[in-house]
Amino acid sequence: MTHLLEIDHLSVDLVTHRRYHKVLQDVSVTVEKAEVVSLVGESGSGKSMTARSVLNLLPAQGKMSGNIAFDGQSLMDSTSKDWQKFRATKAAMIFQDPRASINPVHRIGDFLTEALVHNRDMDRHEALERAATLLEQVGIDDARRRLRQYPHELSGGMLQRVMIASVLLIEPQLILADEPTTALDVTTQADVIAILDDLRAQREMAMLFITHDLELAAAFSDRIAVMYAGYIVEVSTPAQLHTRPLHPYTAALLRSRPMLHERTARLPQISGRPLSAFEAPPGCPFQDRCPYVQAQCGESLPQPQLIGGSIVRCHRASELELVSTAGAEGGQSHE
Amino acid sequence: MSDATSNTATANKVRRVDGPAVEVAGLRKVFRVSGGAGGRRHRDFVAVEGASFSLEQGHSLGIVGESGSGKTTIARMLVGIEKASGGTMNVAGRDRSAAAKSTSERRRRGSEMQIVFQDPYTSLDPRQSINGCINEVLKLHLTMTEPERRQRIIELLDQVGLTERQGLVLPKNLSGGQRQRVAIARALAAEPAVLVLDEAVSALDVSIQAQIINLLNDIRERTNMAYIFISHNLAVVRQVTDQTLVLKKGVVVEQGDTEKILDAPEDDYTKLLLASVPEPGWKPRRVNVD
Repeated sequence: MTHLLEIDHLSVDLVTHRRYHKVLQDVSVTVEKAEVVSLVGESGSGKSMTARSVLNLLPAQGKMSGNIAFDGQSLMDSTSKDWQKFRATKAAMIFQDPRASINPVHRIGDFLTEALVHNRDMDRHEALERAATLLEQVGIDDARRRLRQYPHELSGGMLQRVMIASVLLIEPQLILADEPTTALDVTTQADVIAILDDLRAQREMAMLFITHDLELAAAFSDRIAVMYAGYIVEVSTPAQLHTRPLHPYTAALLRSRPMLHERTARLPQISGRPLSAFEAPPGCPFQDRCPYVQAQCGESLPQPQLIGGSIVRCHRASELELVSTAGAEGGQSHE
Repeated sequence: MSDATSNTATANKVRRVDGPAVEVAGLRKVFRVSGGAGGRRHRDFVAVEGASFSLEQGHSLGIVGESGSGKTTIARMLVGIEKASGGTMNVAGRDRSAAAKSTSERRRRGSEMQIVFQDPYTSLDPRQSINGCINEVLKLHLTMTEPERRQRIIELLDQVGLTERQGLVLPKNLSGGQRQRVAIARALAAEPAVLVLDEAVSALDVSIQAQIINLLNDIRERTNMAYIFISHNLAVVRQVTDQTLVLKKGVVVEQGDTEKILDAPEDDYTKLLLASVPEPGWKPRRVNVD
């Protein structure tokens, strides 16, 4: 079976201070048609870079190895023209900050219809009609007036809806959403996520959703991939992840969240700080912060293994019994 | 009031206050905003409308709400960055409803209340070492000899989980979580009675956020300091505060014990806020907030 998106052993190096630094290591993940897969991780884990690689939006001089295939076709030999066409028709990205990614001197209507007029040769009036219909679907009243307005006249929540409309307009098969609601208020976030997921599902579009919020990812993803230091350490379903996490990092991350419904006397914290891929030690990238570390963890990089339907990269995954809530066990807080 | 416990190696100092640490009544802030393209017409925008609360020493008050609710404006009025349009503010037993008239008065207010901001990347001077930054606060607010100050810096760094070595570096050499620890150490250096934390853990990664929440709870337990904890994150407010005030568009819609408000909210807006937080079993719903 061909996957809609198949990322296979992807590694990425970027130049900082004239030296190559690893940002992604051996990342493999698939997204099926109409499926939602979330990439979850802390800053520097490589989740944004994974999404950017799919659209070839890496910074200049970025080096990519491995393979990315869309609908069975490898994208690795694409010319810049192919990439442009790919981004204009097959896959599109929703960015975190709509104010930074929507041109402030163009009217909303021009921004929304640009792709249709230029790439699809659609008549401008028809394109504006379509844009207006879609604005109403994403919950913006008085769409025709909005089309004549400039980005600064809209609130952040409104502008993110415009961004979503712009992506839906080109009817891609795959949406890449990079923390699309992180800058929004919680009530707006709930609304925007509901709209995005409804409209995406109706059109059978797949989505790669990037977030640092495990609960948000769990609310509407089919599968979740947890990233740490440029690696995918675990891929699982939301239910499985919350009841039986397999990687010590996933379990620790779940336990260290403050709970809405109960006060934890002391949050079980993970010592140290999250690492970037280039800082990771040889062997398992999580070894320095892991309470279950053994000699083998420093010796060899754990390879992905399949356990009960989940994929996990940990030498000890099959013997550990990890839990996801702080209350479920006693002395698990490691300083 | 019992003495602040000093069972740890480092002396934990906090200004002792009789009566409530903070008392605010009818606090109001009106901003004048230009009305139209001409700029001639102005209209008044009410950012905070009649907020009142009282906070005892050793307690922690959460101020929650969404953007534009006025929560940061309240903090800014309390520390004197913004002038109140009406109402009274009393911190550590002294009135600060009007702007400070002298440098010494401003300095005294600084030693009674300190603030930690959201972004640890912009709230430290990039050219000043960590030791230098804390030293400056000690010099300003306390009478200490040079060796005493050096000793106190080490104590403060230790209290927030930083090493002596880390005191020598510039902020750029520290991670976001470590910088936020520095900002907390700097605030503690003035030995304030009240610490204002404006979204102080919001920009941090989850694993670092847990460390800072634990640190804040430890410090409050040890020093009996009072916190005003401003946040949009209700789960974090649950962990750090014992009282909560919910703001919507500048108006207090609900206030009381944190547990009561989060377990049995009475106001519809509080209910909506709670229902919007993703958690196991949560399904995103289309809502219409106005």
